[in-house]
Amino acid sequence: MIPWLSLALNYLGLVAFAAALESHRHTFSRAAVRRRPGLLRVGGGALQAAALALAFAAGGSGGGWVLWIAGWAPCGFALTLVLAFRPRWWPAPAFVALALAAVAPP
Amino acid sequence: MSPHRSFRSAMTWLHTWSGLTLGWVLYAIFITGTAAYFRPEITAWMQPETAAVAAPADAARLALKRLQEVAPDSKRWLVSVPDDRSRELKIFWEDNQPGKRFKSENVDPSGGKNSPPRSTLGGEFFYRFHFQLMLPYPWGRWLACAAALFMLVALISGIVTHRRFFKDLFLLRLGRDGRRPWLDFHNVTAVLALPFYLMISYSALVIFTPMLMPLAAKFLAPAKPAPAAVVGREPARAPDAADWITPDKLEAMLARVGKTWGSGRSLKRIEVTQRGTPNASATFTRDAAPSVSYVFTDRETLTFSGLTGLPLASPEPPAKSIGMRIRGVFYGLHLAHFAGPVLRTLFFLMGTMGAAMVGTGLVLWTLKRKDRLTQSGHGGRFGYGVVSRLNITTITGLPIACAGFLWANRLIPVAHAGRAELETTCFLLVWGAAALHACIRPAHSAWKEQFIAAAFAFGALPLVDLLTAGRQLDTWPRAESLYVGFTATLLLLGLLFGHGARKLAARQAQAAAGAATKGEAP
Repeated sequence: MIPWLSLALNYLGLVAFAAALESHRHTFSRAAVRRRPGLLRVGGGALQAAALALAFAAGGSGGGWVLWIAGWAPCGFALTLVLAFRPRWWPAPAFVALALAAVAPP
Repeated sequence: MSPHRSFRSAMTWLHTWSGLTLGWVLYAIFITGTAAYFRPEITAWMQPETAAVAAPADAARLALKRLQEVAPDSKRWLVSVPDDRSRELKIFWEDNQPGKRFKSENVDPSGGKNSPPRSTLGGEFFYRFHFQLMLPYPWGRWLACAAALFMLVALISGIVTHRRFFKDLFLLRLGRDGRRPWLDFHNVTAVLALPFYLMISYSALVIFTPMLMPLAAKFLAPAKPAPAAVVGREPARAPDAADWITPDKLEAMLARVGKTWGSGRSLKRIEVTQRGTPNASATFTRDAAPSVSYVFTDRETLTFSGLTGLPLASPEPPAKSIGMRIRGVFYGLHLAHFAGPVLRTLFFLMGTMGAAMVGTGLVLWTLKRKDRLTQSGHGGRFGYGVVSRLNITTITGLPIACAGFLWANRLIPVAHAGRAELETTCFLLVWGAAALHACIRPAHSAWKEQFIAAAFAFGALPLVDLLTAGRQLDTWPRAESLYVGFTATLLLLGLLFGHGARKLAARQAQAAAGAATKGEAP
């Protein structure tokens, strides 16, 4: 359950970083988002830190680092596909991870 | 290459050629290595007879009984016991003939509830292929190491080459024409999983350090422990009948092992050595507690004298040097034995992304060359032709061959003699057929047809499984998560290849329509 929660936060952190990027700012239509790239970066960092903390809780010190770093690639790829095909569905992968966390064995 | 080229253009040249030279080997290594993350699960799927598995100690008893039947006078026995992931109960024994080769056999781990398991290499085939490439020792390992080195060079030169490393993160412009979507896909798969690629290529070289740098092996080898004080070992004398460790003698040892280790991490391996001599002994092994670091000597063992049945004093574990510790961490990261189901799935996905990165890189080379050929109208056609055929043979041909291997597992009769070797032959035949097809058909048709073939090969496999292994359906609930997961993966692969075939057909139709319009123009 905890690894999936860590992945959900990892994904949301990447979403915040993506929203702060020049090439993706237009994707997130709200003006408030577009005007605050600095805040988005800080928020993304906070979400990543939370993901790392959960990864540590799931895999200990060694496995935690690996889980956190390994989460970037699939989460980032999911975000890339969402942004390429259905940008409005950006929260969907996080919901999938939460659903998997709910059904996964403890 | 001109000496006046900029550093970045030199790195671009290096990236192109280091990626292309062994790209096909690298792709094969990625595909089979990624599959090997689920080695025990693939073996379990390929042996549907092993649906029911006895407890480790009971399975060990069955194996020892079988060893007594097939190799009563062998000097050395080995038993690989099923665990949480593996259902395979395998026995090995040393042949007493000159050369002392090992023979092996799969044993029904249920003790009669299942039918005898079919002979297959299972997931071991992908694992071995990953670093041996079906070449004789040590050439396969050398080639795999060379591919890892080329990948490391391609990664570092690629980092320098990629101008918009962070700016174009998460960017996939599929609607653009030409090479752009391929380049974006190559960049996205490369940048997002870059830490994994750096780790996997570097750790591959670290794993083979003793082979690549024999002098370094001296520093990585564990210090030889001083001979331990042996309790209950008798002085050397002529062997007699009592020296043969039999399953009855091992029974008491198994009970003692169970008492010492409890019900936590279970027994993994039993090794009986020097049978028939006064120095006969039995060693019971279990894995060390899960850790990122993987050092073979970290395993916990209990050794008993074959003569008295009493435990022998275990030698102190050898001291590990800094080099050994670092190698252990890289080895552990590469194998990912420590990973739970979620992390293992992430490694699997990153391996798939690695294969996609290499595949798109190879395709990009041909697209770039095709543009140049169109502009210049001559020269370099041979190289272009060879690379494009090799691309088809590898990028779609290899997955078709992997599916063929799984088809062979279901279609070759269970009792067929030498069926494990026949499965491997089928893999090679299918791959050879894909290569032949890629050579005799026009490239655009060959791509489309092989995508369709791959979609069918993976998509229809669950149906073949249902029809041929249907007898195992009564044991389905026990195998549910494994079977459902495996079947879903096969269907997903079928869908992905089907989607690829559809996209290719649409693009080719669009190109043909464009060419026709140009032809009609005055």
